[in-house]
Amino acid sequence: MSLKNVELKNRQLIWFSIIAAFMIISVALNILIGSVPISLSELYQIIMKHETASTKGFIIWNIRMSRALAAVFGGAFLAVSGLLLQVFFRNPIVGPFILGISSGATLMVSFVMLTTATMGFTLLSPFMTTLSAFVGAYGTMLIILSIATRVKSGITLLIVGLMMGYLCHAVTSVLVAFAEKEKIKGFVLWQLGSFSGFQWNEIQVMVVVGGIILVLVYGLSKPLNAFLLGEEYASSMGVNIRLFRILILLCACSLAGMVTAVAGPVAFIGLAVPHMARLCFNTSNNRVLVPGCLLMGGVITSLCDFIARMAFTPVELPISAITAFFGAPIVLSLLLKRKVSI
Amino acid sequence: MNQSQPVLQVDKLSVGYQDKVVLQELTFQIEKGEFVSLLGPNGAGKTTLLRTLSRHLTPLTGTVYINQTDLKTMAQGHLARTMSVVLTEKVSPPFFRVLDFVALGRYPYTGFLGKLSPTDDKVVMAAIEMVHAMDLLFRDINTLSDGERQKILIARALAQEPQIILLDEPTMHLDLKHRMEVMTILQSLCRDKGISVVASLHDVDIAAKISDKVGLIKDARIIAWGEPENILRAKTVAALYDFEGAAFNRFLGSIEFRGNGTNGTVFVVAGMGSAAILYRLLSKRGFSIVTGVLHKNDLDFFVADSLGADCLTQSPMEVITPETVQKAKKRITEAACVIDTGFTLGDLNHENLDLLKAAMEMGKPLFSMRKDFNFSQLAPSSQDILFSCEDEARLVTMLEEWLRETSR
Amino acid sequence: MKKIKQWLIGITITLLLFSGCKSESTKSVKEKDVSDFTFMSIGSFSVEQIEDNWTEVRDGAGRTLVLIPHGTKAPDGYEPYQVVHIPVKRIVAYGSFDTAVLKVLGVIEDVLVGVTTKMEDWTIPEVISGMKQGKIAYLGDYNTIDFERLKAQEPEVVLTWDPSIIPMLNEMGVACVITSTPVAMCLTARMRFVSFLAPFFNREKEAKAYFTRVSQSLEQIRKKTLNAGPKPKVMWGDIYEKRVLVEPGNAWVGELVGLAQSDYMFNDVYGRSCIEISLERFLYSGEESDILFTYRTPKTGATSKMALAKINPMLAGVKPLKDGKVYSPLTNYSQSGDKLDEILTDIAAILHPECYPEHRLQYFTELPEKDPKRIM
Repeated sequence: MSLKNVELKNRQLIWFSIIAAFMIISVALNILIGSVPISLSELYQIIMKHETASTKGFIIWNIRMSRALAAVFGGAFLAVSGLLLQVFFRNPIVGPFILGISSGATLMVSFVMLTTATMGFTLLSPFMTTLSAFVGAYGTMLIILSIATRVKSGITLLIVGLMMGYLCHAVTSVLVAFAEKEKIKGFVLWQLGSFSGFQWNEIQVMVVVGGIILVLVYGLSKPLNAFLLGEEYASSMGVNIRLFRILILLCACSLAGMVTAVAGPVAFIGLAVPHMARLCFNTSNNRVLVPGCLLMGGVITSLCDFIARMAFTPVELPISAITAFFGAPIVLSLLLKRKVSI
Repeated sequence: MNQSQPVLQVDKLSVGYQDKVVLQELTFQIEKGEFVSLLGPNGAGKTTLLRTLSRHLTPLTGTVYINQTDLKTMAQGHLARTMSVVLTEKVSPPFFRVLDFVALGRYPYTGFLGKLSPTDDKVVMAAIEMVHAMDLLFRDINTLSDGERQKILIARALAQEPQIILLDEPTMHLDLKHRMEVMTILQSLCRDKGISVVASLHDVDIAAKISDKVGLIKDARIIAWGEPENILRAKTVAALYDFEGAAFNRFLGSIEFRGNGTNGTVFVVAGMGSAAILYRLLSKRGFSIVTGVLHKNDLDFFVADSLGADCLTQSPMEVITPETVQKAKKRITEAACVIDTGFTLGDLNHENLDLLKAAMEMGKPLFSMRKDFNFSQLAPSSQDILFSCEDEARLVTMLEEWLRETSR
Repeated sequence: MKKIKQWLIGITITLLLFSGCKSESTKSVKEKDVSDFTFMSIGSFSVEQIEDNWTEVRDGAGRTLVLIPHGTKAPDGYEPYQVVHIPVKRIVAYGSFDTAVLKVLGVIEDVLVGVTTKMEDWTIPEVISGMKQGKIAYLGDYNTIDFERLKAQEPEVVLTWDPSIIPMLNEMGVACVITSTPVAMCLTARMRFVSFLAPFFNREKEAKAYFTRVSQSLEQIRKKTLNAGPKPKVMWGDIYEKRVLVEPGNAWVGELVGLAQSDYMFNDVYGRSCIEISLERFLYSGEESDILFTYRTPKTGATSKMALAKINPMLAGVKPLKDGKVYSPLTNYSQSGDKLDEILTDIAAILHPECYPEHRLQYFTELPEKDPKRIM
């Protein structure tokens, strides 16, 4: 009798191939199509010659390509982050921002954008917002990590994260209350989240750092699987719970923080994609789900970004609205079809 | 059991939480292949003790030794290969087949990414076979019943190839079939595989029959530790659980419920093992029982004694003495009625016929299950209130009816 | 299951349709009978004189109000909070544009009792002196109104864009008029807005005079630029960290630009004011644009071309920032709605400087290449 479920494995392989194909298609779409019409022949020229001097070349290389990649990576990171936290808390309604990561980032960005200290004659460094969001996200992460080592149960940590989120929100709204109308405009825009305006160096950082973290996460699939049974069984099987907790939180918050720092808070992907992946690949095995979420997160975000850009072009829609709008019904229908309780 | 070192040894152990000591001054040891049951009321500290032994809690004072190694210093991987647990919490991650679930138990043995080698597969299959769950192999664990799930949890613990398994209330919520199955499986683990089992149980009677050792936990201590045959007596069990309405009989190995005796007193003439069922029924119906004359080696005596009946006894292998008969007759006068269980007549208990005769002559209603007997010959001058019944249930029904009618 | 799917799709499509088609009659300003002033619609606003002493108006959010003289009883069918007794004697205004309109109507010194901008930030002299005298109260920031102070000023009407204060105002018995619209106001609507507020103060004459004045200046602009040189390409928007906001084509600036023989680069964009568009479109349109108007004033960040380029280096390549021209509104721009004719002329002068040789800009300033050196 064969123990390996060959049928399941094949099915999973097929899904992987389909998703990978969609990924290529959606990246291509994002590069080919935009609010500025660029013909295929022009595109060919621009790509072959790596031409950035002309406006169209600039658009393709520095606006569309970087945005396409940013969306893919951003989505991938968020999805994996959501998966990690869902396994960690053994709670299906947890997303990457549950621990207050995006609230912390928002708070720091509001400091920078809304207080007079940074405006005025000083030329605003283009990295200020990114930097402050980074500081906010990772600062929150450090606080969470230091608490995580002292706390017994996961629920306590969850509540701490929620409270931190609320606290950050509160301070942010006070800042908004006192800010000038003009500045609020920019801030509100940031809060909506967007993959627009990514620069190549930002993408490089994302890919390199994120890549390392993803490799680490894949290497943690074995204890992650053990963790599905809960902390007590996991520790009885040999998982070093202390170390594991820290590593998982570090990875999840890092990934989420990175995306939030450069793109602002993008909702729903981290929460929904792990569920979609579980239902598609029909497994809870994290060895399959980690790459699965990676790919699915990338594809879905990429497609949503395309819609956000092109639905009412050249007017841009907020990406969080699109992700929720299309994502929620998909998850619902998948659940209804399978009659599965997660 | 002999020269070999104990698998688990506990020395002056105190367990509990930061602000609360739950158990203190525990010292015991467990040998290879022993089945140890921990008994005690809810909240006594059984779970706390198990959690400390599995290193989920740190001991407050004292030491735990696993194979002579201090638990505190033991490497986690080593511990995982030596000890596994079955806990009370319900785990059911989605999309898990039974096979995959049990395979998780191979965690301490698999490589970096957790892929299973052929050896691992063999162990997993053997574990599932041991718990008689081969028919559940590819089922989704969310579709299993409580009993099936419990077996699978044990299989998972087995897959860890432990020397000792700790189980927290393994038979809770299980129906009879699965309870028996689980206990048999655990027993075979001890006997056939030489795995030591430590389980917290509530069924005293089952524990008595299967365990090699029992530990009675109460009042922050282990009040008794040793073979169940020695430890489990009526008094100790009653003291352990603080109940009065039932009694544990170590000979019968079972628990009998004592009635409240408000329905009146009946005198049961019995013996030769004929009355056990009747006694229980009468007790259940609230009758206070006086019975005799029973020989002390008679089954009826054990049952009656457990039920708290008033017994008139005779030493085994002795003929019933006239004094005893006199005492019995006196008790008959106080009873509302007399029951004859149709016991076989022999040399040693012939005198019990006298009691029946006396009852009839006194005019006490006699309910009898005796067949082919000429009662009128026994007591020709009586007023014949005789009821013949076929079985215990009908007898008691008739009895109750009669009592109702006469009390009006 | 199928039914649920159909339902979901149906709802989704319905929602999409409704969100996309919010076109109200923005382009048209209809007047049924100008002389009798019986009905006029100005974008989303409308004024209808039903009888002599009974005028019904609709504000920017479609809410109906009835204007009746002091001392008369309101006709049936109106709630108390819909009734406004005219002429209004005490009014609170959120926006600087609405305040400027009050100036047009000549009632600002008499009726304005509350504003949501601090005295230091005002340029309208009447407001400043009114605040100094204590007649006009600062009610707090627009999203943190001190309702007690508002009540203390006893206004009859509040002009605002914030519908969330309506319940509070209803409780206080103060009428609320929403002066913002879901999509950007077209030029005529902007000009005609006075006519919407005029009946509140029985100042129809002043409104008409204003309209005539502005129309005349538009005529002037048209004439002057008729035979002007080549059409400059114009963008109106601003660059924020990674995003860009622009004025849509249906806004009054788009219309004006077209009127003044120039090309507005975002004519195809439709929606509300300050709408976000894709970076690539901004870049693409910016490639050819000659002139960029910003939202921000020099005080709030639009200090120089270099400063703007630094905010988003990707957009440093647009022509206005390179060898074109960038103009920022001055602080008095947003508060000079009463001088709309002058503003329009300023813009025309920017578009075709050759037609306005001696014109000096009052409401805009051209941004320098670099930031002026800070004097320590």
